[in-house]
Amino acid sequence: MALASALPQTVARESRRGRSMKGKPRNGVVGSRAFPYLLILPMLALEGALIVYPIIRGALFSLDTPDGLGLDNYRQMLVDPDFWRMIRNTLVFTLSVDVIILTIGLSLALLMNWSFRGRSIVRSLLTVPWAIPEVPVAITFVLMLDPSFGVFNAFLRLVPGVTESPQWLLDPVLAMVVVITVTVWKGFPFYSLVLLSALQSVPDELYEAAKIDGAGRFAQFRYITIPGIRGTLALLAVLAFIYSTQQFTLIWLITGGGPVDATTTLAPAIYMQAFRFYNFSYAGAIAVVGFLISAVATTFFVIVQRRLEVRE
Amino acid sequence: MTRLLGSELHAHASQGSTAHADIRPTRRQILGGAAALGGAVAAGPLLSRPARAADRIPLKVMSWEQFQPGEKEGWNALFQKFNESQSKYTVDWTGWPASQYVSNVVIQAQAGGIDADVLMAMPDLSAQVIRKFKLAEPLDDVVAALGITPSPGHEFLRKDGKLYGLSAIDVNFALVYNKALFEKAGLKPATTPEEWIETTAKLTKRPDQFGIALTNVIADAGEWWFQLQNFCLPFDGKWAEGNTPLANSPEVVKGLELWKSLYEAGVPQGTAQSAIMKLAADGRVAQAFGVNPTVVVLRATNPAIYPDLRSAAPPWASKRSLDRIHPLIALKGKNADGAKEFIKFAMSPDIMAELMITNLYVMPPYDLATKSEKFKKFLADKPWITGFNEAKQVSPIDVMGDFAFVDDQFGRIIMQNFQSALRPGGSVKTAMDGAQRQLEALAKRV
Repeated sequence: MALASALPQTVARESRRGRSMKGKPRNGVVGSRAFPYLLILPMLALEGALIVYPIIRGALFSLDTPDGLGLDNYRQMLVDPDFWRMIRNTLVFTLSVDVIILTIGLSLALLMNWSFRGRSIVRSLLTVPWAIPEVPVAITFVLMLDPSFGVFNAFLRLVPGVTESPQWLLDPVLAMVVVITVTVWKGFPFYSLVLLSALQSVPDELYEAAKIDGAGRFAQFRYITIPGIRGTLALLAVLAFIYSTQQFTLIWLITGGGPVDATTTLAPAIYMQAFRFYNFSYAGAIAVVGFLISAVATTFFVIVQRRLEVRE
Repeated sequence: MTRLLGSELHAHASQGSTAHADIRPTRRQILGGAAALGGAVAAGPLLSRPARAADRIPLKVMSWEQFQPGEKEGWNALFQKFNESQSKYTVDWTGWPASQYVSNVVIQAQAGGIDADVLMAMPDLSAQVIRKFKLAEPLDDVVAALGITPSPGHEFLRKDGKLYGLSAIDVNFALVYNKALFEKAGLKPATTPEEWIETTAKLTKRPDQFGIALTNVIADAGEWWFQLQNFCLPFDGKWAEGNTPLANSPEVVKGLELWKSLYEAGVPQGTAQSAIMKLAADGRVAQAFGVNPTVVVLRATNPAIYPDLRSAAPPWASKRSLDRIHPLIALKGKNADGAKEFIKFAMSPDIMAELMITNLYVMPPYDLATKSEKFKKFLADKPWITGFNEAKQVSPIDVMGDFAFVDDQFGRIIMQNFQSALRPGGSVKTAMDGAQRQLEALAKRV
């Protein structure tokens, strides 16, 4: 352990002196301070060309108006009720998916962390929703939710007192519930498995010491498990936020953004404006707003995580 | 090359006859000569073929048909016949599948030009290419040369008295019905809106049988608007006049109230379009308001249902229904003459009849049955086309005004608002008032 921690420091010190580990002095480009930057230059160039440049072009495109560059699209956005409805839908959808997917993911990870017979089979089964492509998932759910022939309503009608068949995709509230549920169902295995591996990295000695000190199950969870996986949880919260903000296929195929625009979130709105209505610059403006929402949310999660680490 | 080889042999022969009469070609020389001769014969077509192909002018036809199962074969055969029929042009496909087609063509047109010589287009795209982008060549000389009279549905392709497109595929709406289910119930297809609601209710026994198939979920928005667009016609309305939307006009509101009554009387509510088609193919839907290819799709899904399928004119006084002509348009450019020659070839009676029979198209671009005996016979054993022929053709452009260029967006606004009218206690008038406000805002942007 001591050797392992000392080694990088030695490498850094020798590198600063411009010497190799074998003791021979380095010279020229390899020994220079700029060398690490030269090494990352190809990657920076690639990311600049393939990521940064398209983002900048997209942002400039959003300023495109019939009379040249301007803020017309952003002004239109501010007074467009459809835009604000879309923002509300995006927040409802994203936050719901984020909270539910992490709750279910963590609960299942805790269950899977226990030792029981057939655990490996259950773990394998857990990955099934994640492995199925989104298109068949959407089609299957649409058929299962059919008011007249769907299996959901068939079971529901067996419940005493239920006489009406809910029209899952025709009611604005139910439609939102459906797209949230399907998105969570499709995504939770990934979060579960990542959290499971995080749980397994928490040393057993800590739990044993806590038991000796008289800590109960909840106290162990609160003071050992959560701090132990906090970093992973924060990262997954960011990933879940991005996953749900970008969700298009499931929403589009299940509800088409309806009924009455009740499930039109950011991604379907951009698609509709760009490829159905050909308002490319307005779609660009919506995409810029989406990018800002994602950037703000990610920064927020990072700041919260750092503060928690500092407090500890 | 063969001439060179001949002179060499001739030289050898001359030499042999004079100076060395006893000298004969060696075995090696004979074999070498034979190999050279064989090589020359084999190489002849290889060398001449690229030269011929290079001489031809390539023509590009932009379409989505090359991706359509059941249709591309007919078109490919037409292309091949054109290429064999003359030596000046060679025609080939370009384009995208239907779902990406309009956006890609519009992007090219907005960028300054369409990278093709012939364009196949949907009605709204045709209107844009002809009127907005002004990229089309008139086809009146083709019509005159063929001596044909294009069907009435071609009116939207005229500008300043000139015709800019000829129908390649024509689909129109009528009432498609299952004769067996109607006979079982002792009913006949409706001829008025009131009868239509009544008949639909009588033919509905949920969930085993539904009176009518109408698309009704926004996830199938394209298909839904495709049908719903017709419902301004029962009471002689329009969706817009110029840049003035008419979504809350009495005629449109009454038309949508008719749709709502049918929805309540006998539609599989909340069911996806694919599932509705399956129900219809299984003989569990009595009627549908659809286009002629609906019959082809139902037959493909369940051949046993085909003998029971019939069509009737739209059940309202005017019998007017939307007719969606997908024309071939010759694009301006250096190959405009070649584009017209291709369209002329495609429209000639024998070639068009062959295409329509192969692809099961039943709405010809002109009175083809009088010019082609083969096509007349083909129509004779199609009892399901009666209603489609009785329907009076109206182009979507005629009912959409200036909004024809933003057809999708217009439809989306109508459907989103109309959905609120379909909820219990919902009012069509209130919903359409909301749509009207949004469409007026759209008109300002358009």
